[in-house]
Amino acid sequence: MRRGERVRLIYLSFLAVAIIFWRPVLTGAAPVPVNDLIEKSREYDGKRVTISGEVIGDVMKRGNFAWVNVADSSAAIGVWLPYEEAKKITHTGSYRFRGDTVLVEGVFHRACPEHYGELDLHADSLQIVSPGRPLSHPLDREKALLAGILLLLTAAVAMVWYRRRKAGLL
Amino acid sequence: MFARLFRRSRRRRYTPVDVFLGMGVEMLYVALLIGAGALISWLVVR
Amino acid sequence: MLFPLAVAIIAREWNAALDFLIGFCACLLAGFFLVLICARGKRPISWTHGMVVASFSWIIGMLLAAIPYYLSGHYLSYLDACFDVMSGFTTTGLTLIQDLDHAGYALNMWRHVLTYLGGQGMVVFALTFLMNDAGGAFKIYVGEAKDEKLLPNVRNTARAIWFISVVYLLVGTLIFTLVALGEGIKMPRAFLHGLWLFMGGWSTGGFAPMSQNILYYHSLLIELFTIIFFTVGSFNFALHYAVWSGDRQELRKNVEIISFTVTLILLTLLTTAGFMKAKIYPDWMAVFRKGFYHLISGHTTTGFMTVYARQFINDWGELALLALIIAMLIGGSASSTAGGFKGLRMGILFHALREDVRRLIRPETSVLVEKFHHLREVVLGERHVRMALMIIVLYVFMFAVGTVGGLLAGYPLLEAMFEAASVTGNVGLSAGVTTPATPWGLKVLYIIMMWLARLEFMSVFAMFAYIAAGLKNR
Repeated sequence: MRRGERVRLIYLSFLAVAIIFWRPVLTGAAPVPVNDLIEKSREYDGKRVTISGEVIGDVMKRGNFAWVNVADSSAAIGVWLPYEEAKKITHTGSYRFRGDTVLVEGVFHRACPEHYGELDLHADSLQIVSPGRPLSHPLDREKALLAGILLLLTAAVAMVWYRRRKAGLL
Repeated sequence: MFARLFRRSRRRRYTPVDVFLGMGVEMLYVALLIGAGALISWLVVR
Repeated sequence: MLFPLAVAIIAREWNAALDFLIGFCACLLAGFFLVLICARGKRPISWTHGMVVASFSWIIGMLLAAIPYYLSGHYLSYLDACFDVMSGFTTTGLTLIQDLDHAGYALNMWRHVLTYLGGQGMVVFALTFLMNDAGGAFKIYVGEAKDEKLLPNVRNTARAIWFISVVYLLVGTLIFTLVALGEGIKMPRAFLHGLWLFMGGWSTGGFAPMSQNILYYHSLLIELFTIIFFTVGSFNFALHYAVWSGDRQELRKNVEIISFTVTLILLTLLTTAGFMKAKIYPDWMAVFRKGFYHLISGHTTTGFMTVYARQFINDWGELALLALIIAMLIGGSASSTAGGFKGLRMGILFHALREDVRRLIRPETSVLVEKFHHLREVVLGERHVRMALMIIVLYVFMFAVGTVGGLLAGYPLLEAMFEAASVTGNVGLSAGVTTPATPWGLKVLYIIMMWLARLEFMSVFAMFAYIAAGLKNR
């Protein structure tokens, strides 16, 4: 490889890497655990932060905006964002579903003036990192067996008890 | 108190009107408390 | 347990259905077993018997009710499951559940039904549906620390309590469902949340269906209505009965209502002043929604929260926290689902003090009668004052023990005091001490404290005395 070509190769690789990491580099953050935001609320107050987590519960439409609660492994936080963005969410977390995993970037408030002191995140955009999926809860065989045995046992004892009661022994 | 309540329960059960008004009064009292709380917050913060 | 079982089947949560089926069978087996062992003689039930039954049934009930919890996989240990059961039954509201946001409908139904029923008193439940013998029933009921005599017949009293609770249940669930719909939650979740919010509130328990508690809803309307229902739920049932029978003046004259109003306003002033010093909230509405809400939530011993537990310690400032701790300890009304010293005792103390002061300034020979109003005019007697003082002392002592327990477990003083106050008053606000990582000794201590506090000590002491006497006579 001639010298000029090597330089160009290095330059292109660098550009590729920069493009791949463009967005996070620009927006300046790896996602912060929600619990960090809560514990160090004064430190983060008013700053732009990024969080990543699962949407849980309900997408609550309030006029042109919506509340969405996002939970990561540490805690859950309320995110206030335009309904247009919130509409992207297809699944929310519950017993039956794992909700969409989202990347949210916005301004963190320790005691939001717009929302009367709530600890929240005002986001302008929301990215779906991975869509939600149904959660399977296959029937637990051991439990079913235990339940069956107990049911029979209970029925047996109940019969004994009932017969004794009728006979006036109880 | 015993005698009075006892007589009352013998005489009549709750009348729907009394129940309705009773509930209303109870909830109104709490609404007043809420108002007082809001007032205090407002007054102190000014 | 049949009810959550039905919910599980309807919602097709099969594993949950199994959990409740297992739990149900365990209960029946235990019941049969106990009756077989104990139904020897037909001796009439004495006072001590009543105390013992009330206290003992809570422990057995706790162990049995924890079965579906533990089987659900949402708890890290059986102790944690028992903790939540006791917390529910005593309408405290501290919780150790994991992954609440993915909990099934059946599990959540069980949680909330536990607090609702616990609030009404396990014993009252049994009286209404199961017991036939009228003579034996009365003494058991009194052991349940609802020492008002609403109606001379205990069964009628139980029925009255149920009537009041069910009417409010219907009205409250309807209101919450409508509000939930308005705030962006869709059916059937709107109805379920509505039902559960009412149950958690009315029982002054404090359980809510999501991990962020009431903060999940981000809704002023929800907050306002929860205040209304949990405060009304904290009133004395005899008061409800009087007001519903037409005596609406009682609301104005009752010593507990007066006491509650006075302490609430004074403590609100303190809390708000504390906020001003700590400068944490931007405007008066925030102070109202964060400050007043938690103060009244704590004072009625409900425990609904719209802040994260750690925020109490990190943000609130010591003055506001102190006011909140006092509110939690004073508690709500007697003969209700609330905990704490109770407004009745605060009122009695105040009147006792007043009487003593008046006696001081009058000539020695004058006759002085101090009265207070509680459903009727009551002459303040030595017995009232003595009982009130004793129970308050016992509560304070238990609060101290709880605080020391927290300190020994390694927690800072403020956190230990806050959590101990929450447990003593069966409140449910947490400063972050109650987690699965908490030392098991402290969890056990809290379980015992919740139990003692709910039964107001006397039944439990009688139980131990009875056992001791039984052992001695052997």
